[in-house]
Amino acid sequence: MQLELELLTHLAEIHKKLTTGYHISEQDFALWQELDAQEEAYSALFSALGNQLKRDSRGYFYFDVDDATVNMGKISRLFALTTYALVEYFSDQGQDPLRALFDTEITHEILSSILQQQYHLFEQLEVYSATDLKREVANRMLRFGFAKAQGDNFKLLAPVYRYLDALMAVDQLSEIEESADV
Amino acid sequence: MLSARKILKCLDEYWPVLEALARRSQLQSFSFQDVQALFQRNFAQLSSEQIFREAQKLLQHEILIPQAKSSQLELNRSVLEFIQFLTQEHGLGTVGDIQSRIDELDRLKARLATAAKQKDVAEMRRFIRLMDERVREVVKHFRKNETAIMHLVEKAKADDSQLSLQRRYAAVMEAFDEYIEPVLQMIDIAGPFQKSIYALELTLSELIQWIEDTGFLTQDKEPLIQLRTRLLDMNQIGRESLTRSTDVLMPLREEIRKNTLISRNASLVLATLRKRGLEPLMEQLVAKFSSDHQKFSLGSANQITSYMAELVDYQDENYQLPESVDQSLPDNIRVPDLQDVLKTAKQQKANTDLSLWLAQSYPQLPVDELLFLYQELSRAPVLNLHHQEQSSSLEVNGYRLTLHPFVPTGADRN
Repeated sequence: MQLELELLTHLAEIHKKLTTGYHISEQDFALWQELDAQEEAYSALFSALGNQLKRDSRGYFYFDVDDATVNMGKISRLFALTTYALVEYFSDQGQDPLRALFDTEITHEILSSILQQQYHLFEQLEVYSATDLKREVANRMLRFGFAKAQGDNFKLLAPVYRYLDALMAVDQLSEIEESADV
Repeated sequence: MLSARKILKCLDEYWPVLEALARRSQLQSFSFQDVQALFQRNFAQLSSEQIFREAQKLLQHEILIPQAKSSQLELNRSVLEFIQFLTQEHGLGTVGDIQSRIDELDRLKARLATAAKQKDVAEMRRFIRLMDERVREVVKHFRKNETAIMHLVEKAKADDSQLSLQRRYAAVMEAFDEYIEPVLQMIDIAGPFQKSIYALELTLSELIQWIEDTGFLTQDKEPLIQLRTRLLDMNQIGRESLTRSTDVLMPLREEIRKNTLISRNASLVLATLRKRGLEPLMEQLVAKFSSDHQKFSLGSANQITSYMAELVDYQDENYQLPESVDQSLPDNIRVPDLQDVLKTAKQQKANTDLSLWLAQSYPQLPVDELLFLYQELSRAPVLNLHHQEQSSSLEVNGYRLTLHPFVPTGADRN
């Protein structure tokens, strides 16, 4: 395959963002559009460099990796826990969790109520207050492209589906486990 | 006879079996064959004879006891309660449990006041201890009931059966009507609970004040203060526990909770995480990010900690020192004394350069000795040496040196 490097105008920026774990979604308009248009070229180039570019139909690109560093593991655990706690929170509010998750601005109040509800779990990940949660999770979500800032609050973006997919996949596993117990 | 250590050992050894039995005994009894089958599943490496023996052992230690007039077995009640305490799967208690303790506290309060009036120290201590015990029991009940309610709610949320809401939340509704409502009434500001607590606190405070004023029974002041603190604490714990329980029950009771597939799964996962800890379920849930820049950066605190944890098991390979090689000089090479060399150099009035002269005069000498002599001689005032402009090179014992040689002052002029 012939690569026309001149066509890949945002190569440096895209590569830098993806290697640091950033998820490029539709809100990063310029980057997303270029990846969308030149997907094949980028994909070939990155796989030659040893990275696997993944595209999700819900509108985001990321690097698929097998081994994450220890630190990333912890961050990802926090993201997962926060996402699930939010789902639980919204369903308890009588909202459709899937819609609310992406439509609602996550405020400090919401963070502090999910922290209160799941304190035992957050505690295990060394998060003890809503301020911790904001610093450890919200700010990092921004940095990895899972959320966008809205003033002091933030809003989740499509890459969160990675966690929701895992949640749906775990369903069968736990049912198997449960039936094996009895 | 129950032997504490043997039971603990059994619990440790056969935990998977006993945990499964505890779950099952909420529903029905089980037969000896069921127990053997459980052993078979959890300890596949055991032979059937061993399995029989292990199951028999549980019977011997009275961890399993036969039901009356039946060959069916059940878990020993105390063991079951202990397991439920460990796995936090309590059944919901009744309001009566708490109410009776409060009544008992009221009764003890009157007796304590009487004993204090009569200055009967032994009786006072006894009542204080008893009251303390009751307060602890109430707190235990609050905590137990809270986890029981959490459990009920989790089950209702994660239930995917197609039953009507009414049926699915039957247990939740019941919990609300039978426990939350009455307890709420009980601990209401004007309710009997508050009155009792208030009266008790007053009595205790008066007693403490009296002790402080008279100096009588001073050593008993501490337990009294303890008791008062615990009492106020109990009140607080009760309120908080109730608020939390109501918070989780309300959405279900009001049927506002959306039970979509995704919220059902989220509840299920969160409940599992709460019970079994974050690992290993979390492992399946986390998305992995690329983190190339981190692989090449210095470790964070966590990484360093885990690295240090690995170091604990580090075993040093025994390092084999090489055989020592005899480095001493052969006897026939004598390291010349500095003074002698100086003398010789002066006598010979070496007019070639110093390094060359040294190399020629002492061809056998090791390089380090030569260099030492070279350095000493070059500084010696008697020889009156100076550096030459052009460098020269020479070979000493296979080493090639390039240097600006020292020559006697005036030598290059000759």
